[in-house]
Amino acid sequence: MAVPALFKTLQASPLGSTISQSTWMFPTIETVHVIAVASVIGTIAVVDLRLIGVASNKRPASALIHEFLPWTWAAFALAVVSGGLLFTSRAADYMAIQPFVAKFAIMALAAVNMLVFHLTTEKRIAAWDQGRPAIGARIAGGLSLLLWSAIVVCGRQVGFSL
Amino acid sequence: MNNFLDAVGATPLSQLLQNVSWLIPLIQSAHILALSLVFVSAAVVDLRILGVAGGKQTLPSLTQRFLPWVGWGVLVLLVSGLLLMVAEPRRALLNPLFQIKMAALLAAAATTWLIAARAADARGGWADPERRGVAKLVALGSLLLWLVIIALGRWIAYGP
Repeated sequence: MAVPALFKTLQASPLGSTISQSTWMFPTIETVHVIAVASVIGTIAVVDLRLIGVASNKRPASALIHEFLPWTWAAFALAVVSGGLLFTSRAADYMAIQPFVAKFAIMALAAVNMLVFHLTTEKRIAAWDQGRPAIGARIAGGLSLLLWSAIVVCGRQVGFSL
Repeated sequence: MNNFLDAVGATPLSQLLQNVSWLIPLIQSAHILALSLVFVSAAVVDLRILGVAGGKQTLPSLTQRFLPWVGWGVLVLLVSGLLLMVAEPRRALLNPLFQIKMAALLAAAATTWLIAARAADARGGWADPERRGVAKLVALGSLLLWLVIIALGRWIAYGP
């Protein structure tokens, strides 16, 4: 697959080459990325496990969503910034490997899954908020756990593909 | 020590892990997923004690809900971590960062156990943690220890 010139320019930019030539910058940013990703996955899992009826079943699902999702979005922002910096250091190389592209394709699916949940099942949350989750909630929670696990697998595979 | 590490590296299990290229990344992925659950579960309790989040719920209700996930999660981390060590015996055991990581893990386990025990103690426990300086210190220590453990885990890959 041909890599557009934009990514080669990014990789050769002062920011990109500074990160790739430093001995400590990449591991340090990577550490921030791992902590951010762990926070994203962990907080999403708390909500997903409630949606499939495995954990926090005595808490209203709506309360969990309101308590945890702001942390998810804050951690996601940190993951995007740290991931963006890592990407800049070897942009053209990353774009040429399959697990990297697959990771973002799966993230798009996770986004669609989340949107469908917010626009459909969550609108009728009052009907199942206190008790057994609706079938739509269980499907959304199960899919989310599966997709985010696949994103981690792809992300880890990226490190072995360069 | 070197003879022992070479012997571990020569076992059929180690050979299998080294020769099937997708096994190590997959075990590492399981390790990351488990640490995500452990870190967030511990952080929920720590942030409640520190008064940053979860103020509507009592500390005992949160420790009962979330700390079992820390215990079971650490078990998954130990098993997956042990497999990774069998796969590459020289990578971790001789690395000082790994040794510090294990010491930090012991300390984090101690803080988790202390928080669980004090929250469960109805008389003089930490049911009202905002007013307890010691509780906040332990919670802050727990949070920092888990962050250090994750950071060291990543730096082992770049270690001496």
